[in-house]
Amino acid sequence: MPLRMRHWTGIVATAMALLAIWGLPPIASPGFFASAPKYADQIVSERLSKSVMQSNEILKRLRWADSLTAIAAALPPGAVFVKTPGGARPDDQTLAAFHDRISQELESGPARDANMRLGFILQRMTHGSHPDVPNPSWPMETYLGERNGNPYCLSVYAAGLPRRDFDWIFRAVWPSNRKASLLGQCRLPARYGMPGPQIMEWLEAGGMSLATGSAPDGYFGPGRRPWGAAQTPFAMRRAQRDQSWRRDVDVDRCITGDVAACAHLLTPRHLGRGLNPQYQAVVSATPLTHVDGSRRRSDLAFLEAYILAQLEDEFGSDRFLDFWTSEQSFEDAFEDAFGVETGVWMSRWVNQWLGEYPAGPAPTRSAGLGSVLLISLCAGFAGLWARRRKVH
Amino acid sequence: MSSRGRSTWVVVIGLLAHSTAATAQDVEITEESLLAHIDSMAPRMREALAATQAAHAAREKALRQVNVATTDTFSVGLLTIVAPIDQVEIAHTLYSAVWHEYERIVDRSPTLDEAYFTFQWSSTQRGIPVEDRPVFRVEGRGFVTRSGMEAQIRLAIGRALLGDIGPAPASSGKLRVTAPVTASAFRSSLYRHLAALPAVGAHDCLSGDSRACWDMMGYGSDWRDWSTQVERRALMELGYIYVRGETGRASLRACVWERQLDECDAAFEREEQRGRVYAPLQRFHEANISLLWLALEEGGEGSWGRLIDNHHLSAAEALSAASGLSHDELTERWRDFIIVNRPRSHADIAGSGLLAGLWILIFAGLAMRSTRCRFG
Repeated sequence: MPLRMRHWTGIVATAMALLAIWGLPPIASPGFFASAPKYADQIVSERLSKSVMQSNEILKRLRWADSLTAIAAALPPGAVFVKTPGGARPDDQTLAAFHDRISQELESGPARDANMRLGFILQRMTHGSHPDVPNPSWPMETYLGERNGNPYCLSVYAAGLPRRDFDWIFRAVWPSNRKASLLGQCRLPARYGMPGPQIMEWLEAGGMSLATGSAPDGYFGPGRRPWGAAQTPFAMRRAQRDQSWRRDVDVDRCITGDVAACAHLLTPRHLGRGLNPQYQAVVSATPLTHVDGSRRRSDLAFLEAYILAQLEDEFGSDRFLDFWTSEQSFEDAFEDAFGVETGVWMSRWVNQWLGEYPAGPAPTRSAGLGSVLLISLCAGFAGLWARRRKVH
Repeated sequence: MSSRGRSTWVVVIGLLAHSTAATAQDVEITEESLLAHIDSMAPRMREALAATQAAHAAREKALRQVNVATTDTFSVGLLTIVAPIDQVEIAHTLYSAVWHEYERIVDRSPTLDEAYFTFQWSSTQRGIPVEDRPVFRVEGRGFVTRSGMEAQIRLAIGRALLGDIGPAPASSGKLRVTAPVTASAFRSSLYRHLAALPAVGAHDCLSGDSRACWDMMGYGSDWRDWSTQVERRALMELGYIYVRGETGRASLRACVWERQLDECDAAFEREEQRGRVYAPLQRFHEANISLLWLALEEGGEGSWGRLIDNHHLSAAEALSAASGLSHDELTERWRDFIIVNRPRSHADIAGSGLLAGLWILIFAGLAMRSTRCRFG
């Protein structure tokens, strides 16, 4: 008896079921796929640890901010200082190279703010801590502010000691790392000084994560894309498709051309959504301005780090200075300085880096055209086949 | 706790839970209130942590007592194996297959006489208690392949055999026993490494100069005679020297980045005085492993016994004693072994293309052919 469609379907389904059964371990051991249930004491200790450690992190930042800003404020205007704990001090040659690199970075581009004190501090993670509380390592932190009218921007990297991890910051002076910016989030304050009060609020609420990337000359020119950006229109579209199921709806709306949604992408409410809540809680409670690397989720392929650098590059340093030092709110300062609404500019930015994507369920133009061509080809082939087999 | 302390605690918890919503400006958080909160909570945290650990330990202990396998002990060659009763047969088969690779050369081994090897190949892992004896465990989940289990057995035997050599200063780092050199990727990596090594000695070794091989392995005279200053800088850049401390880092910077070639030699000199510089091929573990295994294979029956009898003299003497060959003969055989296992130089693009084309033709042929099995 010839095998028919339903027989084949049955054979395939049975084979798939057998394969699935064969692929399973004989006996799933407890704890292999699922973690064991927690004890009541475990839940209590985890909650308490979290709360106590959070309090300790806040306590440390309050103490660090107090002592470090006092050092910065006592320095002459424009000073650059490096502070390391005992035992981690780099050799003089490395330190000199580090200062050279900072000077080079400050001298490139527009003139720097003459008042801003810059500090690079390597700190013991346990410094200022309550003795009974564990101290996890944190990424680089930025303290931006004024003390007794003296502005400062401090990059603080705290880790356990003794360890060689502190070397990383000095490795940046090696020739192979010439492209890395040592100034980091202090780059813009170093050039433009203290931001206006409302811009400062916006930075603390998450805007600082847009100032992480630096832009060497011509970085945003034609054919150049920051690290992480899709390289071709096709790759952009594929990235869009792959991420669409988990992306924020505002980004989707912005990609499809909704200017209001694009404007929302730059508001603290949206910016704060992807930041690490543990770090943000400490930022809110202390003079700490931002924790680098606190963005744990990005709907913009982590390219938002370059947004402020691109604004600076696109509109020039004078207009960026107007924006940075404006007394107005972020949106008004943006519009006044750059002559364009946040939503419109952001819409352009999204189209530049993430591509365009049509709204709604309709297929793209290329997909529609391809389908029509394929159907025509098949129809033509079928027609030719039928004509050839015709019996006269 | 004071009412202020309590309110701060509530604020901190609130910040933790809804950090983005809360703002610090709403409340004043001071050092005193934070310290009070930590001091009041830390003892409770420690108590809860201790209780968790105790409960966890009790559960683990109960599991261990319940989940102990009934085992049987048997021997394969010099190996003594402990396995659950229901897996004795498969354990015997796998250990026999692997021991077959060793039995000709390992005639005696004090460590193997002492040690127990366990075996378990199941998704449900049980405890196999072995007391007062050195134990080498071979334990794999049910999804591990047969060859994966055999590889684990080889590694366990290799680790055990290392115990025969011990930490003798004369041979430490040179006589490495891990497993017979069987994998083709392992064999071909030797040629790649030697050909890519930035030292004229390595290329001379490949070209047939056995003295170069011997020296570059660190057994003969100074390997630096087989390299130029520029090559030594390249070796330093590749990490052939382990620098530490401020002086080491300064040397590395001067040698690698600033290209001060005398600094490279000074760094090697300094490290050598501390006994830390190894010859380039000696740092390449596959070279040591393959040379040792080749010596044992060449030596044939009882070669392992001869090696452990002589390893206290020097690694070179031990290799000669084990293989029964002179240094020149041994390195000549080793070089031949590397050349024979030279990887294919082309990327096999044509082969893959032909195979893909063949499959396309087969499927096209099936598609064109009228068949009773077709859809519809």
